[in-house]
Amino acid sequence: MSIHRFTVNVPNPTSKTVLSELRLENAKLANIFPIDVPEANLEVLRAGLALDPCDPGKRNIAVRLAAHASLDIHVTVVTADLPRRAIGGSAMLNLADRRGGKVVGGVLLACIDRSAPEWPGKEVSTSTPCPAVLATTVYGVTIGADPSKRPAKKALPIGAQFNLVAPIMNPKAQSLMGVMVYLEHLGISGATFVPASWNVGILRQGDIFYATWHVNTDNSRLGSFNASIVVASDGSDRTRLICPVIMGQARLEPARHRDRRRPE
Amino acid sequence: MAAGLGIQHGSPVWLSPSIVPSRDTVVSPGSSPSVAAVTVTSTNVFVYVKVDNIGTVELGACLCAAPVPAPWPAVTQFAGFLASTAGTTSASRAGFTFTASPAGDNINGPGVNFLFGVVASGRRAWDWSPDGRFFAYASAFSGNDWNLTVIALQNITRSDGTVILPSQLASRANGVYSILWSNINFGWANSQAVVTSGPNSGGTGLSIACPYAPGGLVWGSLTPAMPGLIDYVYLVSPCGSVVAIVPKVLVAGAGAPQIAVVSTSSALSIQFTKNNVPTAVAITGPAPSITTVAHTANGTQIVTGSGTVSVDDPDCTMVGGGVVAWVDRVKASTLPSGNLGVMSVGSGMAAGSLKPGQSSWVQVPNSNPLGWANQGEQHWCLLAQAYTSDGTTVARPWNGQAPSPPAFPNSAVNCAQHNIAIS
Repeated sequence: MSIHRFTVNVPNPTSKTVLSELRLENAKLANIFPIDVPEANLEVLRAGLALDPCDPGKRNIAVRLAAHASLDIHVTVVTADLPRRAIGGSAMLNLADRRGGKVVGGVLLACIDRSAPEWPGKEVSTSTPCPAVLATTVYGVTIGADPSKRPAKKALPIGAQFNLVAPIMNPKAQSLMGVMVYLEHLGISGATFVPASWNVGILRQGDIFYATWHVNTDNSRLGSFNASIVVASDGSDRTRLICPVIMGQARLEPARHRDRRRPE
Repeated sequence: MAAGLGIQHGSPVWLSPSIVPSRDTVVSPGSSPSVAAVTVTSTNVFVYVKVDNIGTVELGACLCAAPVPAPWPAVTQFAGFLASTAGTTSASRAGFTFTASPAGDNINGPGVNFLFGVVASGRRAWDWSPDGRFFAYASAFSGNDWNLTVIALQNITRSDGTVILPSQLASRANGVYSILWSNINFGWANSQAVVTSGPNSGGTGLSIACPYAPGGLVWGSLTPAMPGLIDYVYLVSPCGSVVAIVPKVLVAGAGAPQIAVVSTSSALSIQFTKNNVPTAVAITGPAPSITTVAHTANGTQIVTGSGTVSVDDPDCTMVGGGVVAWVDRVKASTLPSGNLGVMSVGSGMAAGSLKPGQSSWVQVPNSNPLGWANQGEQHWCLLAQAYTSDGTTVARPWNGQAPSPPAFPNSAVNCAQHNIAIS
């Protein structure tokens, strides 16, 4: 037997007192969508709503909420032991909030008894991916600089503004038509960018288009992150290119020039 | 024609099928992910948000609708001109009337009453922009000097997001020529800039007044005069994003001068690009021309006199902006509008033209430094919203990071929620 406890806030954002009728209802996992929780085979022995966390409560409760006030409702769900402990189990309940006879909101309560490790996720492929690829890893150049000149250092600077360059190449023998590129995100780096998409059009075999985006790393974190760049071409599905980016360099490499004067 | 974005609401409303926490690596934004359970230590969980274009306007596409092939036209000379103080005229367009008289010149219309005053020399030239959103007026105090004033006739949003109101000054320029000028010295570049040129001591003076540039900036140059050898023509890209100063080499061997390019959104010199790499284009012949054949990279062809070279279309190779999917989370309450400690999750872009009726699953990483910390409460609610990055086409419905944010507008079509457990 397992006890699952939840605290759910029931607010009243209006300027009038309202009566909220709360009810616990069984939810069917299959009706939601595929979900990474164990099989929905946990038997619910008892479920209740109460204002007191020590009260097992009952399935229905009505609470009067003053204007601009809220209450915490305590939900206690008792489930039976797992029939097959090795694979875990789950039970789902909806806490529905009715006011004036209408459902105005609610919460899905997931009671999970998991003994197996989390599912790691999978790759969801696509039947006709866009053939365009990155010619090299992405890199940064100073704003206004030639994006085809790749600096020696791989890391991107922290606390700077620069152009992120993605060299997009057609590795196929035939030309790609209607090529388009955009930057979806910069991972969990915290860096921001000015959104833009590039209409590359025709990309011939071996051609490289240097897509650029203005990036600001003022609030970025150090480390390695995965950016997502999306490419598309006629007759193919839009395709994500996962691009590792390393944040960590103090600044971009300066322009190469040499002052031969001696200091005075 | 209306722009609109949507995120499908759930049934029940707290379980939108278009907001999915997932560990899946989904190759295509056209494919859907499967749901993952989230723990406080999760580092590889994305929130995928399916954004629907529910309007009648394609979003994220280039706004330049000029059909191709499109030869770049020369600037359009001003239509109006008077050379004496006694001259009078009255002209109307789109509800605005320009009146010139010895008592003074002015333009009037809805929300506009601008007085240009009395012109001492009597010399003035004027014209509306082709789209009717501006009125440009040049006058001379005395002799050969000129003063250009560009007035906004409608609300204008500049490239830096600032707005100029009707009757406000959009741009201003001035100079002196070595001749008595006329309307042929002034012209509209599409409706994006006013190009002024004329002979000056030492060469040809050129200024490009850019009302869409920050502050209405003006670009200027002085080109050495090479009469009989090199002349210049000012060509405008089909949607006016750049003005090209194109040399004409009238005598073979007189040189190979390069085309100069000025951006009308910044009033700065830029370069043509090829595959987004800056490139210079030299002219060697007497009849250069530029034609946009596709609104893409390498979509512009330049006849140089020594052949034809291709460069990127400056109007549409890059399209700024896009559709944003933004995700926050709050501790679950029975109302989505009850904000209990809003925490940002992150955002992602769906760009590159989202046609009416099309959808895109946007991958949103959790970029909050606190990750999936649950503050001791397992039940949370993901709040997702979709809008355009320009903030105007489809406005951002809610800012959860603002101090004391209002209730999340869950009933809006471009807002939805999905309860999750963070164990």
